[in-house]
Amino acid sequence: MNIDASIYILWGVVGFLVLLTWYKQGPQGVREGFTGAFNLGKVVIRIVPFALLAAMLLAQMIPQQIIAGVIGAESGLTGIVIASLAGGLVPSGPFLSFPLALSLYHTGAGLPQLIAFITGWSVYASFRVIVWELPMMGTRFTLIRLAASAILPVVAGILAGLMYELL
Amino acid sequence: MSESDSAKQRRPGGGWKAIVIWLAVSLAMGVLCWYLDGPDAVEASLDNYVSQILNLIPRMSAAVLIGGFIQVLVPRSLVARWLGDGAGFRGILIATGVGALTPGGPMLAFPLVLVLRNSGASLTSVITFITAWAVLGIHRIVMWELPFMGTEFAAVRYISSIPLPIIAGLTIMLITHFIGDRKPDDTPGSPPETPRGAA
Repeated sequence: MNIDASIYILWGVVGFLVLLTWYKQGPQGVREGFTGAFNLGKVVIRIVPFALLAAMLLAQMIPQQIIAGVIGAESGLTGIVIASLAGGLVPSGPFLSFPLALSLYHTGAGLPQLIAFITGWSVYASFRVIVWELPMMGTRFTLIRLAASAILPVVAGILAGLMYELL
Repeated sequence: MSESDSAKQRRPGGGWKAIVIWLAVSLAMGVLCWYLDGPDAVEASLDNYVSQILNLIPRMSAAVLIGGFIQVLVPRSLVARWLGDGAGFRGILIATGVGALTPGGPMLAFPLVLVLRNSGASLTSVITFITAWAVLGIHRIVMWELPFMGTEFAAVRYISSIPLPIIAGLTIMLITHFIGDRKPDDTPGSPPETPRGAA
């Protein structure tokens, strides 16, 4: 997968944000930014390396033909629907879902299906629903939101499929 | 309160316990993988893992810095102010834009949504906001998607997802047309103490 450009974009954004913070909030703001980043980094470094390892071993175990067959590039709309539901079942935050998506890519998942997977994780979000949404917003809110979100990952997968055909 | 402060306490997996759990999971996966597919499969996974980690280090370092600075630049009070104005289709468009720009994880977004809802925001605008935050949140894209999945994937997914909050918003408009915005006995709560002061 082409990830070469992302490193320049990311560090370009860092430079831009540091300058913008300096301009708008002075050295105090910049210091707060670095403190926030440091705290964030502590959380990330305690989770990502291990979650990634677990995800890669998991993906290694699922036979490649199965992944390629069920959510491979040729699996079409069925694969998009399955990937959407699978994404919604990922029981964790971005520190697991993105390593999983990367591993699935390496074991033969199709790109529109992966986009449905990420979108399913984003909007069905079983973990976020249980931990945050139900306790804070209540059942009615959650059900209405889920009803309105049901087709979204499939829509994203189909649109992505159309875009990849044009690319 | 910054995202990371609350993340330390609230996000499952903030502390040392998380490392132990994830290591145990990895170890179990490794043993199972060895048992099912043999040592070669474990070795292939580890090779792959090392190259991914080397790829991720410079990218995640940038991502974490971006996360820290966005928290400083876009305080919660700003989001609440933006989301307050606009109803109907215009409200949906505003909520989509604001959701995309709102940084932070659920520990930041849900308290905000609760406060907005209690102070009278419509179901349409808060659900559009949550959906946009979930699928278009720029913060999550730079922090996670670009480092892991690369530019092209992130761009295609983003463009494919632009209609989603609008679809969700229009659906909610339709749903609330029939069942109402609130339960009959559910009146907007007392005005929130924050969010305007909270940064």
